[in-house]
Parts: sequence; structure tokens; C-alpha cells
Amino acid sequence: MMTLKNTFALHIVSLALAFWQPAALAQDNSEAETGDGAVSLSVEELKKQVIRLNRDLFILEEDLLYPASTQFAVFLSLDTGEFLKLDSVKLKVNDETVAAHLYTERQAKALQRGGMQRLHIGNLKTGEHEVTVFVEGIGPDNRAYKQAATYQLQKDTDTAALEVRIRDRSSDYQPDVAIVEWE
Amino acid sequence: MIEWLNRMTTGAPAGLILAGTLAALLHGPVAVGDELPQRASDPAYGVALYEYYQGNAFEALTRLNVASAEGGIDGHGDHPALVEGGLMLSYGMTHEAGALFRELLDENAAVAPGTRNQAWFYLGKVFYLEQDSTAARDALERVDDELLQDESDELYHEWLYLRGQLALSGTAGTSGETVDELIDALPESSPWRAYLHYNQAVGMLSEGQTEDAMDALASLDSLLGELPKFEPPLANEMSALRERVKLSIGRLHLSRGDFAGAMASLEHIALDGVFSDQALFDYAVAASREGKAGLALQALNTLQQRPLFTPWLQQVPYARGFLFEQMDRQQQALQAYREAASHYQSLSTRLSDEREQLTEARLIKALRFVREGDSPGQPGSMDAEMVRPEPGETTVLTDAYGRVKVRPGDYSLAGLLATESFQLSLRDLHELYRLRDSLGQWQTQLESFDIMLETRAQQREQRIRETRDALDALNADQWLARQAEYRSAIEDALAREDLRFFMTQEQHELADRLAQVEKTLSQLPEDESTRKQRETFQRMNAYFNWRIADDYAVNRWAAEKQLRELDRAMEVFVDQRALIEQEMASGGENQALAARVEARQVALQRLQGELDKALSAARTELLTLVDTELQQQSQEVQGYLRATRHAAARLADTLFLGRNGAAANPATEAGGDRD
Repeated sequence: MMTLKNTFALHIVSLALAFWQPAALAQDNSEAETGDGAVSLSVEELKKQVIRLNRDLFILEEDLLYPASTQFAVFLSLDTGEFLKLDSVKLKVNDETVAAHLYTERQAKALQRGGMQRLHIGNLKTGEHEVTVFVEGIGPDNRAYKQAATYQLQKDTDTAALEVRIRDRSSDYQPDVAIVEWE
Repeated sequence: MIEWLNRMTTGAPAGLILAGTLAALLHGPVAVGDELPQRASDPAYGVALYEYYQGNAFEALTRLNVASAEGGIDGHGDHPALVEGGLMLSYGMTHEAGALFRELLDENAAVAPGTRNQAWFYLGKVFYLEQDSTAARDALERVDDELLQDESDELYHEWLYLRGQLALSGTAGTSGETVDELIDALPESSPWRAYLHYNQAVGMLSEGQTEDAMDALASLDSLLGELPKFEPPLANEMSALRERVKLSIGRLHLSRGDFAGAMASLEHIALDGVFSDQALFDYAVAASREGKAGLALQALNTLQQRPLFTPWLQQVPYARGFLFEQMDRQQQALQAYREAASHYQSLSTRLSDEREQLTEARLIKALRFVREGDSPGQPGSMDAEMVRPEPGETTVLTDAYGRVKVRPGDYSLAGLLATESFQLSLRDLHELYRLRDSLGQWQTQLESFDIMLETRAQQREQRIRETRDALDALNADQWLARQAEYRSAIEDALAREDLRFFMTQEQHELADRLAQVEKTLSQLPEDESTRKQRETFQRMNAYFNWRIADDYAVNRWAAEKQLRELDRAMEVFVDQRALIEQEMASGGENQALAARVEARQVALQRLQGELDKALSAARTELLTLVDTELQQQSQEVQGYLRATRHAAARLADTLFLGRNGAAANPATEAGGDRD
């Protein structure tokens, strides 16, 4: 067996060679492939099945809890968020708070990149309802920003979907909050 | 990223795949690209993107599946399919991703040229990840480079990089482009260029072209030094790559015996950098060989003061002794060997204990999972220790390929953590726990659905009872009988042309009054007055009969109209009653929902069973890897221990003999230990 003395003395070469051995690495990876191939395949199949079941359960949940005739959903988007660092949002329906959310940096970035958050889903009876959103964050010049927007929703027997749209307003370099209805 | 780099480089292997992996991690499996609209045209797609951009592949895939089941996504063409394929790639579902991209590439599929082009690119990437170089090359060659560049510079650069990687692994494209040409095609500011350049140098070394490799590394070092600053986290990655290049240059100098050159390169690596341990050790080796033992000892002492966090660093205690001996400081060497022997002995005992007591819980405890909000250097900080994240938790961060971001809490796992097999096993374990948690939540939810449906069923029964009572109170059969009687009477009257039957109420009253008058007149004495009255009555009666005959058609029509209206009302009534009866008899929507809940419960339980099996397999695989690693380390430490004890014994003998010799011949004492 090679002694440690020799090992240290030869370390110059052995380390350098070990570092530059793509063959050794290839072997490491091939072992990984053969070692977990079977498990990975079954994990992939399981993932597929769980996603499918998850989908069915989501749809079942909506059918059960939020029937189409009364369903009411509110989404939130940020376009593009240069003038607002989104901090929190509160949603009221008929003066009752139904949703409140504090945003992590990751969530705010996801919104900036084009994602849309489903802020609330619930049920509303037909008729007129007042929907109000309060948006807070850091606006231009690092100043605290707070703005509200209100929408009078005429709910019929179809699903109702609103979008809280936070946009950069280039005319005065301020963020703008609006509620729009999806047809 | 740096943590990953750190883990990867603490083990010996590095090179092509390492750099490739790092480069692939730069942007994740799918760059949604320049064409992404600022605002989603369909909320279902927006919600999926929201999850996707947060790295929640499972949730994003579920959302896309829900959208697909509910009629698809409007306004985005085939783009959601590309995103779904990319998500599958990042979620470790390469087979499914490949199948999806192949579907998009089907000749009969009506897919936009741009999407088809990107599907070829991603399919090539699938093959590349599956290490099927030939298939990867063939798929990537089907990509229209101009179209890809028009659509996304980012994808185009990655495409060049992947082709370069394939060329380096000996699967060059049929167009004959060299790696140099592919590197030149990439902009200098592109990280893909830096990685390809580095991997090219690695390739040269593996083929023994050390001069070319040195030139390539020097050129890359110079390029990286001139680049404008990147934004974090890319800035950290590029900085780490530059240090890696410097380390490689230093080691190359070492391998050529150019120790001064090695020291010159290694001393530029930051002491708090990712590669500082390796750089210090190599620097000690170079300094030692250059005859600068003091500098070598300084480097080793610096390392000795640090936690010896990786198995290969366990050489440091022995190396210190060796260096003292080389410096002719034999007492210090003996002391260092003894300390090293003590260190190796306790380490050996600890490794044996760890092997004996190895469980999943102990393994997880020895790992530091990184979660959102952790500072880069301190996963699981002081406050977080109390609620340290565990695999399966959604707060645990993963890279773009689902690999868990984790750092070793125990040095003996550091090397193992660097291996792809361990990373993949840990990823599987994490994902399986996540899936199990998700199913567990649904299990609770389904139980509440059950209660909800049961309550609804009870309420329904109550309403049915109330409805039945209300129907009974209406005495519906009696109404139907009366309708039939009315119809029959009208039909009879029509058949008889019974004018009086169809008289109006007013006419009936007049008829009654005329009958009354006639009766009165019949009882009056026969005189002139009575006669005149009877004549008047006759005229009135004749006029009345004429009116009835004249109004007959109108009256009959009015009666028939009423009959028709009654028929219609009764029809509606009968239909509604039938509907209610049918509804009451059937289970209704509630029953359908209950059936769906029951079916999902069955599916859920089946999947939970499958998950438990897969979890058990993943757990066993992971523990086997750890046990093998610990066994190997234990053997290595035993080797260090033997060598150290041997050196200590040898040195003690030498010193003993030296002292005896000095006692016998005091004149030679000055030539002993110079400490």
C-alpha cells in the first residue's frame, strides 16, 4: 500500500490528474445511472400519476366548493413592476376582507415575469357586489406606496373572474392599480 | 449556486459534466424566452406561470393539466406545451418531456414553425441529459439556427453550447463546425461561452495537450477578468468560475513541476472563496516543493484551524507532521504526528459509530437544507435551527433540475454530497416526501368532502320530505281529475252545440233573471197587464236567445282558450312534478360528486401505497450510498492512522537514538532538533 508520505509527496501529480480525469467522472455518472435508474423511472411514473390525481382533485374541489353558477375568482398581475416593489395586497368583497397576502421576493419576481396569482376563489350570489383591493409596497423614490381600487361587479349565473392589474404608468412614472373583469 | 459549486468541488471529480451541469443551471431547463407576453392572455396560463417562475414545478404542471382538462389555454398557441415540456425536464420527468416534444414534432400536428423549432431544441436537450449524444446531435441539427436566434438569443446561445459540449465528447455535428468556431459564435459576455471554453481546456488536458490547455485557461482567465460585472447570482457563479480557472492553472503548473508558477496562480484565490481549501492545500504542496517550507506550513496551519470539512482534507494533520519533519523540526513533527494519530483514532471511532447507528433521521440531521430566505453562507441559521427544514417541505430550495439545495452538517457527507448519484437519490427522496405530503393534504380534504357531501345528502333528504308534503297538500290528483271533467263537459257541450253551456257569467245571470221573471209571470192573473208583460218578456227572451246564438262562437272560443291554457298549465305542472319525482328518486348531482370523491379516495390510497414503496426504495438507496461512503472513509482514515503511528514511532525512535547518541557523544548534540 502506498504510504501517506508518498501520497503527500505525489499529491502534486495525483490531485492534478484526478482533477483532469473526465473518464473518472464519466464512470461516476454511469454508476449513478445504473444505480438509481429503476427507482428514477418509478419515481417519474409516480410523479405523473400524482400530477394526474392532483389535477382531478383540483377540479373536483372546484366543482364541489365553487359551482360554476356562483364561482367568483380574483387574479392579480404585475406589469411590469418597475415602479412598484409589491409588498402586500388585501381584498375586500362587500366590505368584508376575503384575502390578504404578503409577497416574498420570489413571488413578486414571479409576478413581474408574467405570472398571475389566484388571489381568491369563492362563491357569490347573483346581483351587485363591491370588490375593493388595497395594494401596498415601495413606489418610486423608495417611498411607501398605497393605493386602492374598487369595482362594481354585476354577478350573473356564470363564473365571474376579475383581475387586479398593477401596471407601470409611463405618463407620470407611477404604478397604477385597476380591476378588470375577464369575460 | 455557489453552494452547489462548493459541494461539487469538494470532491475530487470535476470537469466536463460538472461545468456542463453548472452551465445548464444558469437558466434552467426552459428559457421561456423573448417572446413571452408581458401579461398572460388566459388566467389559467398566468397561474401556471406564477408557479413555474417560483420553481414550483409540481404545482405548475398540475395547473397546466387542470387548464388542459378544462378546455385548454387560449391565446398562447403551442407555447404552453413547450413550457410543460420544460417543466417536466426540471421535474426529472425526462421520458415524459421527450414524449411531449415528440408529439409536437409529429408530422400531422398543426404546430407553428417557431414552436416546432424549439421542440427540436428541447428534444435535443432531453437526449443530452439522458447522455444519448448521437440522438442529441441529430435533434439539435434539426434546429433552424436563424429562427431560433430570432426568437430567443438565450436559447440560441444554449444551442451553441450544447453542440460544443457534444463536439467535445466526440459527437461533432455533421456540418463540421469545430469547438473553436462554436465558442467564437458565442458573445464574449455569455456565460455559455465561458463554460464551453473551460470545458474545452479540460478536454485538451484529457488528451494530453497540456500546452494548449494552459493557453486556453490563461485566455479564459484573461477574458473573465475583463468582463463587465454580472448581476447576482450570475456574478457569484462567474467569480467562482474564474477562481476555478486559477486553481486549474495552478494545478497544471504543479503537474509540470513549475512550483513558483503554481504559487503565483493559487495566491490569487480568495481565502474566503469557494476553492480556498483546495487552493491552500495545493499552495502548501507547491511551496513545500519550492523549498518554502514556512509558507507551506502557514497554509497547512490555516487549513488546520478550519473544520476539516471534507474527507480529502483529512490529509492535513499528517501533512503538517510530514512538513515539520522535512523542515527538520523533529519534536514538532512528533507532536504533530501524535496529534494526527489521536485525531484519526477519534475519527475512526466516530465513523464506526455513525455506520452502526445510520438511519434516515440521522442522515437528515447531518444535512443542512437550504430554504428561501437563508443567507448564502448560513443555511439553517440559529433561529432556524429549531425548525430546520426537512426533505419534502415546500420551503426547501431546489435548483432548476429539482436537486435539493443542501450543505453538509457533517464533514463525512461532504464528499458524498458532491456525487451525482447522491444528489439524484436525495432529489427523489425530497420529491417523494413532497408528493406524500401533497397526497396527505388531499386525504384530509377528501375526508372533509365526505362530511360535506353527507351533510348535503341529509339536507337534501329534508328538502325531499318537505317537497313531498307540499305536493300532497296541493292534492295534485284532484286537480287533474277536475281538468279531465272540465274537458269532458266542454267536449259534450260542443257535440250537443249547447249554446247555454258556453254562456258568459253575465249571460248566466241574465238567463237566471229571465227564468225568474218567467216563473213570476206564470203565477200572475190573466189580465191585460199580464199579457203585455208576457209580450215584453217574450221579446226580451227572444233577444236573449238571439244574443246567445250570436255570441256562441265567441263564447265557445273563450272556453276552448281557457281549456288550452289550463292544459298547458297542467302539462307544466305534470312535467315539473315528474322532474321533482325523478330528482327525488335519483341521487342527483350530489351522488355524482360522492362517486367522484369515492373514486379519488381509492386512487389516492393506491398511490399512497405506491409512494410508500418508492420512499422505502429511495431511503434504502440513499442509506446504502452513505454507508458505502462511510466505509470507504473509514478505510482511508485507518490508512492515515497506521501511517501516522508508523511515522510517529519512527520519529520517536530516531529522537531516542539521537538523544542516546548525544548522551554518549555530547559533541554531536548541536546537530539534533533545531526547534
